[in-house]
Amino acid sequence: MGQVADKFRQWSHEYKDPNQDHVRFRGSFFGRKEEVDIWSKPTFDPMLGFPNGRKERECGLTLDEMDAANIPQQHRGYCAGKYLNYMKCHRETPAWRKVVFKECQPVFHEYGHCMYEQSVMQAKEFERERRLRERQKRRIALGLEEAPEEAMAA
Amino acid sequence: MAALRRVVASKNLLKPIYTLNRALSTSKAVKAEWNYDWCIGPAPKTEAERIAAAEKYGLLPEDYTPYSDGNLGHGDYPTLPWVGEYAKDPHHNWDDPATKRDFHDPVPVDLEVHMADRGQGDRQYRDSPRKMFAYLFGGTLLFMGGMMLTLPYSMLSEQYQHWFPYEMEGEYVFQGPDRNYRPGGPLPSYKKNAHYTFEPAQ
Repeated sequence: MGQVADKFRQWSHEYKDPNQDHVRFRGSFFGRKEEVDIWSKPTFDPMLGFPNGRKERECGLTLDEMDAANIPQQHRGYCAGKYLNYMKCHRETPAWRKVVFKECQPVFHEYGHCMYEQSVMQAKEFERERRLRERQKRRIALGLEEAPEEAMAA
Repeated sequence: MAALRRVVASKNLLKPIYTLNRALSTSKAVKAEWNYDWCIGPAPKTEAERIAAAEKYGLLPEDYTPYSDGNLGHGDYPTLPWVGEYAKDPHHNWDDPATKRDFHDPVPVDLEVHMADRGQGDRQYRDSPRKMFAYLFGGTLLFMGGMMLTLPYSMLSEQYQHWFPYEMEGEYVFQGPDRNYRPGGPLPSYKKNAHYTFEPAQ
């Protein structure tokens, strides 16, 4: 179970209904998709299939800076720096300048763009995991790869 | 005198407009006098009984066919065509327009299913049953076909839900609605997570 901020946490995260998996539709007549838990974490080597490596994501702030700024838990993601910029703008700009000249809009736009890019990246990572699992299954079926121990035990 | 004659002539001309043609008859309008006259009789066996029963129900003998099965308890009651009130001609000058009946029309045994708000016996549909089914199937396909074709593609993008650079470890991690916060417990320890973009490192 991954870490989820209290604000976004739901009762169903703690007490999962096993029937939910059956209610939720995955796949169709044309095939069934490999199921990956969205609350899990990637299991494969992140550099697999990237000969030039991958750029590591950078969070603009350190943990101490986050603590010092008293950023809420749910905003301590990779967009925390942009969030902090927006909060600064929000606090320092007079209300009438925000209303009339929309002075914080560029900053907020930057933050939203960061969130969007993060969302796309999470979806990409999820799809990568799903396809790698399917590939692993195919390779095991072809005998190119040994089955992992957990699968053997199960 | 001529004027009076003209008045009489005009009266004769106008008479059919404000009067109805009436006829006197000595025969009884309803061929029953008491409740037992409304009762059904036993099923006819001879030809004479058959003709008498047909006359009793106001039918021609060739139109009259009694219920053959005596177990139904219908006796000599006639079988009538399966025509509901809905299918009857709405433009005919019925004696009783509300139920679309003429005087002396025989009443079917299953009158209740022939009433206008019930069954619609012998209703003439605009389309044939095959055509109606084609419309139904086609409409269903029209709306469900798109759904069936797009089922493999999720409208909600599936993505990892937690994506934080620093993650709490140990007892302080959220364990449940009532087990989240423990004052006096150990301070949270964080670990650094490594996430990667999809751009090459160089």
